[in-house]
Amino acid sequence: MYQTGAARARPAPRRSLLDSFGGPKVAPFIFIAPAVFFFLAVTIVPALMGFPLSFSRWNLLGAKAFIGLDNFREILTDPMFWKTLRNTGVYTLVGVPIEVALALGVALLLNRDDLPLKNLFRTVYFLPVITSTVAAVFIWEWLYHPNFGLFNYVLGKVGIDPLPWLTHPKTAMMSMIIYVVWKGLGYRTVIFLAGLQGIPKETQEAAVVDGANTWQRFWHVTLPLLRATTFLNVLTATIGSLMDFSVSYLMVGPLDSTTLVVKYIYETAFKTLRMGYASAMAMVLFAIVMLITFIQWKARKELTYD
Amino acid sequence: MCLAALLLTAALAGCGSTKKGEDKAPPGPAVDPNQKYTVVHWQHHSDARQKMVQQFAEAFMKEHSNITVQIESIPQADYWNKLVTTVASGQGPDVFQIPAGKAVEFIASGQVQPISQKVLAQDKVQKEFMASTLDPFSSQGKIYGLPTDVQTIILIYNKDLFKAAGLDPNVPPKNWDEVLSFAKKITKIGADGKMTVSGLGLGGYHPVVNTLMYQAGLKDTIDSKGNFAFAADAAALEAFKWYCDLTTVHKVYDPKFGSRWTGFRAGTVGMVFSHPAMMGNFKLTAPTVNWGVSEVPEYKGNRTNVVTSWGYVISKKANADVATMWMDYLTNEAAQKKWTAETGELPARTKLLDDADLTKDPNIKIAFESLKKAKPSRFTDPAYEPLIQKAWNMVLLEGKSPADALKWAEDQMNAEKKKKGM
Repeated sequence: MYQTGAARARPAPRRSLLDSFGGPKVAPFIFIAPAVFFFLAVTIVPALMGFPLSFSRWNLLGAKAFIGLDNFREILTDPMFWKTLRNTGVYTLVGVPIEVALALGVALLLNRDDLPLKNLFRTVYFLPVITSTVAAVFIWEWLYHPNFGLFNYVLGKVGIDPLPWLTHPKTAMMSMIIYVVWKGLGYRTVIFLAGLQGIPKETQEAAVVDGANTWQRFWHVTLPLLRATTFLNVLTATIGSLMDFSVSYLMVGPLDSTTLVVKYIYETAFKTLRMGYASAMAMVLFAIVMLITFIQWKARKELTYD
Repeated sequence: MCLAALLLTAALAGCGSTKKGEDKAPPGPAVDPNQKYTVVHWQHHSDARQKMVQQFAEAFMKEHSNITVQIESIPQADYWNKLVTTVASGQGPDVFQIPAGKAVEFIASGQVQPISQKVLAQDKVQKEFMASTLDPFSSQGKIYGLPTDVQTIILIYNKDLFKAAGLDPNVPPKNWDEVLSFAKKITKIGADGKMTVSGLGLGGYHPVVNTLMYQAGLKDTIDSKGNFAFAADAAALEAFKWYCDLTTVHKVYDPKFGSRWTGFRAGTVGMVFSHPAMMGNFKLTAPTVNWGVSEVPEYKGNRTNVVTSWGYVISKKANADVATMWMDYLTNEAAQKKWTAETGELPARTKLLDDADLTKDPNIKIAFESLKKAKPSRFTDPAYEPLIQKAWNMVLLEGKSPADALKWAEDQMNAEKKKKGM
């Protein structure tokens, strides 16, 4: 039907929500601005402020005094720093491979099509992840009790001598690692599960057709295709272990056998009020974490199919 | 070192009202009654203390309608971090609690100011408060704080375990030899070699070890220059060795036995060296345990023990006159009496040690006697506190000799002192 000029004039297009925020080019930045601002304010800015502080002596109460490299020189001869760094190294080098390997094994099991009550098992394995750390440590300290704890009771039933667990320096770190593996296993498993479910079924079927057995399929097909996921798990677990504080703070073994370096930094800052020295140790730890992350990132190119 | 309610008789003085003519501030202009003031007060939390201090604040504000007191009671785990960071930023409270061991650092840094002489004369404070509680807050002839949360060391014992061991439940050990012989009689080891009853619960707690050192004859843990000097003292070593031998030689305690407090509450620990505040705690947490109290058993005729405390101080930014008025109110005789009755923490005022109402309770009377014989501890800075326990653990778990372990503790304390620039 023929329309008049007036009828032909189209109504002004409605302004979209995106347009209200400056359009598709500007809007994303506005949306992420609050999170970025928060991240800058509570993480980046304090970290940057720690750098000049590491060259000072400051007890929070008085004035800061510039002391050059004295704090860094002190680190070289501080037996407690090296002890806690060693503890952190053991905690990471032992705990991370165990946690990642176990998580892969559990994920492979949970990925099986023939597993009954799959969802129930997935929930059970993830429960420790969402359990309060304080509550979990409290329970585990009772499980570890040398005289009345469940673990020594079970060991006794199978004819193994009781262990001192958290009450002796020789077993306290191992006790902490066992707890941390239990706590983080579910999270790593979920990551691996996502990776496994991203592997096309056809690749497995092709391997079966080619005559590969279960182990061969895992080693030559599944594991290589999981390299990116494995790398992600190893990288995040390593950084998490190097920076761990809460477990070390709560699960205390004798003679600093479970003290990790971040806990020592915290106590130096807030108990003995040596903010400058604590900042210097934090800078050293930062450098170590960056170096390890850099090495792992470089290795990633060799190990993954990108 | 504080906490837990100790419920005694209800017939106590009213809510923080100052007794007329006794604890009042000297006359003279202090604050302008026509001007409004606010005092922000921080303390570390216990239910009993918060309730009581809130009552004091309400009564104080009724008497001084131009002054508002804002109380903030912070969980102990968060208190120290929150306090030092806000004080450093200049935003902190006007009146706050600090442990006695930290007073010298706060005073040296200029973050606190002396109490106002217009409101509370210094010589009056020195006359009325016990020197052992006031000394940590004094510097160069000025008083910077008023003590609170006073604790000493006493012995608490399980009367039923005494009876089971053939001991008289109403006769606690008189001296170190009896402590050892009683502990041996009470200790039980099962057929599997595990300890089922510990005669004396131990933890390497520094006020306990310090108490034993003083009893053995150590004069002080620091020398004339203020450096830690106890490891070479024969008396200190004798005491530390005796303490270590309780576990390593006489086996009246086993580190695998667990927390001495949990064990005492469960009725499996015969005796514990303890703060008086634990009396109030055990009333609530160990209602089935039939316990008794005594002063620390003597050694060489000596019942010296160690006093630790916190204190209220005034920040440098506060109005000293108003803050001192509030602190004086909070620590006057009636207030301290109520404080002791309801929290189990000991008074810092000398006169209250013979108060008829408070000493009706024989356990409180014993705690007061311990305070009369107490000396201040030098180990109450968080940098020093864990070191005696570590030294003890070195002997128990690593086989280090008591002499070497004690020397290590002394060296570490001096190193920490040097790092602080003190």
